[in-house]
Amino acid sequence: MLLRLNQASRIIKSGGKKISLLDTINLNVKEGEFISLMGPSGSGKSTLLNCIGMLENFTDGGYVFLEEPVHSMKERDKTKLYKEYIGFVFQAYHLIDELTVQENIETPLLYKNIKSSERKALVADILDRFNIVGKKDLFPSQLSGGQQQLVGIARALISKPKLLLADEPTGNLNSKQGIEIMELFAELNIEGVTIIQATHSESNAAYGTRIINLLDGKIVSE
Amino acid sequence: MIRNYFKIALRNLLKHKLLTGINLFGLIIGTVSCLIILIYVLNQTGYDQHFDHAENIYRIETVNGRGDKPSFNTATTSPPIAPALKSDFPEVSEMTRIVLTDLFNVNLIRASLEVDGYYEPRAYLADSTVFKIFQFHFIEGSPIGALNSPNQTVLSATLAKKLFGNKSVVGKTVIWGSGAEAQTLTITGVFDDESTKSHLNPNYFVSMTTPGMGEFVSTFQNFATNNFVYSYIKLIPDADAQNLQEKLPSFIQKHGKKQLENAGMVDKKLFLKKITDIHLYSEGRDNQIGTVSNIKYLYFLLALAFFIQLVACINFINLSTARANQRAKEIGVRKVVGAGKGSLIRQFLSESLLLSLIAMLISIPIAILLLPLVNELTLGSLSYLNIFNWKVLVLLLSISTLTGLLAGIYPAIILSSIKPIQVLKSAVQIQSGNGMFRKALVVFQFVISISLIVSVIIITQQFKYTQSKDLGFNKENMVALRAGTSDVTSKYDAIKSNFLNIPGVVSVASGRYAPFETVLNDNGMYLPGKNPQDLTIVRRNGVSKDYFNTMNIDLLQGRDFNATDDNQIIVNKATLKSFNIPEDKALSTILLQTHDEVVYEYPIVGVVDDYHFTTLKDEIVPLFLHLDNEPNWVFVKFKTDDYKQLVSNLESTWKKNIDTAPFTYVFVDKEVENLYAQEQRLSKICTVFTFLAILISCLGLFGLVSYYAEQKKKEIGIRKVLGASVQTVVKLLTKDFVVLVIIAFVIATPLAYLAMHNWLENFTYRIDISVWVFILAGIGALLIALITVSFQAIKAAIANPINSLRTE
Repeated sequence: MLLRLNQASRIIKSGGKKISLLDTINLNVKEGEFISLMGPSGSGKSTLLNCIGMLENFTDGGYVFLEEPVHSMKERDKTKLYKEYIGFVFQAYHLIDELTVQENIETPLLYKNIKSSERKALVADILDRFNIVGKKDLFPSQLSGGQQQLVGIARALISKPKLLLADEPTGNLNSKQGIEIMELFAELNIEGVTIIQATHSESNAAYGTRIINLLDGKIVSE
Repeated sequence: MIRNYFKIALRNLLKHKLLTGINLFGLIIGTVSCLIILIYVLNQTGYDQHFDHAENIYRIETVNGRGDKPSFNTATTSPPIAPALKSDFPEVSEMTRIVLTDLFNVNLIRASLEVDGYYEPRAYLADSTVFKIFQFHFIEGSPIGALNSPNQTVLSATLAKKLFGNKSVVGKTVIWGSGAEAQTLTITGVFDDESTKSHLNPNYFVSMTTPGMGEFVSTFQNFATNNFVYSYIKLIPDADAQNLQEKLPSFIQKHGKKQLENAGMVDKKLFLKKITDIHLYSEGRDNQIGTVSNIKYLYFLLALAFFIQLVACINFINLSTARANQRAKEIGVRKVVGAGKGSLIRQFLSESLLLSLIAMLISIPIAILLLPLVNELTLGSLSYLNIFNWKVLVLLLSISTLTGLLAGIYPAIILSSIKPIQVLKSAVQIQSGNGMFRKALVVFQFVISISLIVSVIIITQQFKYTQSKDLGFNKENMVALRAGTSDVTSKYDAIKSNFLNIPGVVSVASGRYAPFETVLNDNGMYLPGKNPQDLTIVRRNGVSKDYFNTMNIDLLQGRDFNATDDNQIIVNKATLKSFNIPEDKALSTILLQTHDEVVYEYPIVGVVDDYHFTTLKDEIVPLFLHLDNEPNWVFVKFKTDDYKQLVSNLESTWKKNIDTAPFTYVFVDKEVENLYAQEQRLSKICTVFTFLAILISCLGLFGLVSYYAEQKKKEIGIRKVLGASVQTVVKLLTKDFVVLVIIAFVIATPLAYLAMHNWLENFTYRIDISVWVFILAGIGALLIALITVSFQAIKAAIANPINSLRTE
C-alpha cells in the first residue's frame, strides 16, 4: 500500500466561521494506480492533492505514507519524505524563469546532492526520452505551453518518485497538447509510476485506472 | 551547487537592471569610500615602528601647571633633563636630544658662497647619539660618529640632491646661515628620507656641539626653563616604563627644586610618551616637531565610510525584500522540488555576496582614479601601491564579504521562509518581510542624510566665519618676503625706501613672526612691587616701525616705535586685563622680567586693540611687541591689481640690494586661510560624503517606490476607474514616505545638534547654531525625497487604468 487516508479532514477558520475543505476522507492508494480526482471548482481536489503532497496538512484524521504516520511527523521529516518519493506537476507549469530547460530539470538533483556527472547523465536520459534535447538550452519563456509542461513533468520525474501528483496538468493547454500529456501519463503509469491527477475533463479522467468524485470536500462516488 | 547559485544570481542581476544598478551603484560608492579611507587610515598608522625596539623608546613631555591658569602642555623639555635621566636611572640605556632650529633661524643653506641658497626648514640640532636610537638608512657615509664633532651635518637624500645634484657629497661642506652667523658644516652622511615613516621627518641634522644654539643647549643646566628641547630616551628591554614614570616627580625636584621656584613652575611635571603613539595620540600637547594627526579624526573618517556602506546595504535589504513577490514563485518551486531553507538562504547570500564582490572589483580601479583628488583633499601622498598591498586587499575582501552577508542575511531569511503553498495557489499577494522594518531602515538612511546635511552647513558656516571674521588686522593686499639674514638686517632701511618707490606699494614693515605664524616666544613678566614668582606669560613679537599701520592694527593709546626705542614695548588689551592695569594708567606702567637674577624693565609706550595673532581656535592671550631689527619677514602692503608687475618689481629691487638671500614671497591672506586648511578639508570631505549618502538613499527610495507602485498598480487602476484624480493617486503613493522623512528629521535634529555643538567647542570664536539650519536641512531632505518619490508616483498615476486591470 502506497498511502492510506483514514477519516482525514482539513478545516480552516475564515472570518470566524469554520470551513471544511476536506471532510472525513477515506482513501487507499496502491502502488501502480492512476487515480483521477474529479469535481467542480471548490470541491477540494487541489486541497486533497496538496495535503497528500504534504504541502498542506490535514487538520484531523490519519495519513500513512509508505507505512509512515505522516499525521504525527515533524515538518522536517515530511519535507524529507516528499522530497524522496513525490513529484509535482502544476497547471501553470511553475518552471523557474531564470533557468534553462536543462537546469530546471537538474534542480531537484542538486538538492539531493547528486554528483555532477551522474546529474548530467540523468538529465540527458530524460531529455532524450521526452524528445526535448534540442530545447535544453532554451529558457521557459521560449517554449510553448505543451513543451513547458513536458519540462515540468520531466523535472517531477528526474528524481524517480513513487508518486506523481498532477493538479490540472492540461488546464492551460490546447486539446492536442493535452492528449499528448495524457498519453505520456498513461505510459509512465504502465512503467510503474503511481499517479494522482485532479481534472475537470472526463476524457482526461478516462486515462486513469480509477476515478474519484469530490463535492464540497467529500468523496461522493468512486 | 555554488556554481548553480552564482549562475542564477548573475541571471537575476542581469534581468532586473534598474535594481541591480541601484544596488551596485550604492555598494560601489560605499566600497570606494571604505577603500580610500582604509588606505588613508593605514597610511596614518605604523609611524615610528621601524626603529629598533621602538616599543622601548619614549619622548619626555612637559606639563607646566600654573595654579588656576591653564596649564602649558608641551612635547618638549628643558635641555638638561634627558642626560640627567640617563645618569640617574640604570634602565635608561640611551638618550638623545633634538632641537628644531626653525624656531630660531630661517635656515638658509647653500653649497658655497657663490651660489644661491635655499630656505630649508626641518633642520635638527641633534646629540651624537641620535642615530643609536633612530636608525635612518644611510645612502652615503655612516651613522657611526656622524655627529660627534662640532659643525658636522647629515643631509637627507632630497636635500643633498637639491644642493649638489647627483654627486657624492660626503666630505663636502655647506654654508648654514648668513653674514656674521654663517657657519661652515662638513657633510658626514646622507640618509634616505623617502622610506622612513616617522614623526621626526628630518631634512638635515647638525651636530649639537656646533657653536650657537647647540652649544647653549649642551651646556645649559637649568631644569625649569627653556622648554624647547625634544628629549628621547631608550629603555633596556623589559624595563617598566610605568615605574620610571612614577619616579619622575622626585627626579625633577631633586635636580631643580630651586630653579623651578625661581621660574614660577612649581607644578612642572614630566611624562613619558611612547614614540609610536606620537603621531596619533598627541592631542593636547603643543609644539609638536612636525604635523601630527589625531586618532579622533581617523575614527571620524572610518565612521563616515561605515555609514555610507551601511546606507548602501540598507538599499539592498529594502529592495530585495520589497520585490519578494517576484521571487516568490521561484522560491516556492524550489521548495517543492526539494530545496531546504538552508540551501535557499545560501542561495540568496551568494547573490548578495556576488554583488558586493563585483562592487569590490569595480571599486579598485575607481579608487585608483580618484587618488589624486583624495590626495588634494587630505594633503596625502597615496598611490596605487597603497592599494596593492596584501593587508589592504585582505581587509577589502573581508569588508566586501561582510557587506554581502550583512546586506543579504535579512532578505535571505525572509525570502527563504516563504511557504510554497502560498505561491502555488496562485495570485495571492505575499507579505514578505515586515513593512515596519523596511520603514525603519528608510528612516535610518534619512537620519544619516539629514545629520550630514546639518553638519555640512554648520562646518561650512564656521569656516566662512573664520574667513570673514575681523581679525583685528587687514590681511588683504599684502605680500610677506622671507628675510632672516644679516644682510637683510643691515640693508633693511635701503630696501624699505626702494620698495616705497615702486608704484602700488603703500607701506613697508618687518617682523619676527608673520600674522599666519604661531608666536612661540614668550616672557614671564610681573608688575613692580608684586611677587616675582607669580608670573604672567606674555607672548613676544619683534616688529619694525610702521608695523601697526601696515597691518591696519588700531593703536588705541600711545605711539608707534621710533628708532631710539630699546626696551619700550607696546602691549595688547589682553595684557592690560591680565595684569589688571587700568587703561588710563597703561602708559605709565612698567613690566618686569627676571632672567639669571637680573631684572629687566619694559615700559609700556603704546596699547593696541586685541587682534588675532593666533588662530580663532585660541583665545587672544597677552602679547607684547618690541622694536626689532632682525626681521624674519618683510611685509609689503600694496594697492594694485597687477600682482605680476608688483612681484617682479619687488624681485628686481630685492636682487639689487641683497645677494645672500633668495627672493621668496607669499601672499598673507592666502597663508592666513591656510591656518584653517584642516577645517576647510573637513568641510569638503563632509560635503562629499553628504552628497553620496543622499544620492544612495534617494536611489534606494526611488527603487522602493517603483516596487510600491508596481504592487499597487491594481489598486490604483480600480481607484482611477472609480474616479480618483491624478493628485489623489500621487498623494496615496507619497504620503507614507513623507511621514518617514519627517520621523527621520525628528530623530536627526538632536543627534546632529549634539555632534555639532561638540565640534564647535574646539573654537573659542564660533558661530551659534541657529534653528534655520535644521529647518533648511529638513526641508531639503523632504524636497529631495519628494522629487524622487513623485517621479515614480506620477508615472503610476497617469498610466491608463485599463492596462493594469487587464493584465491582472
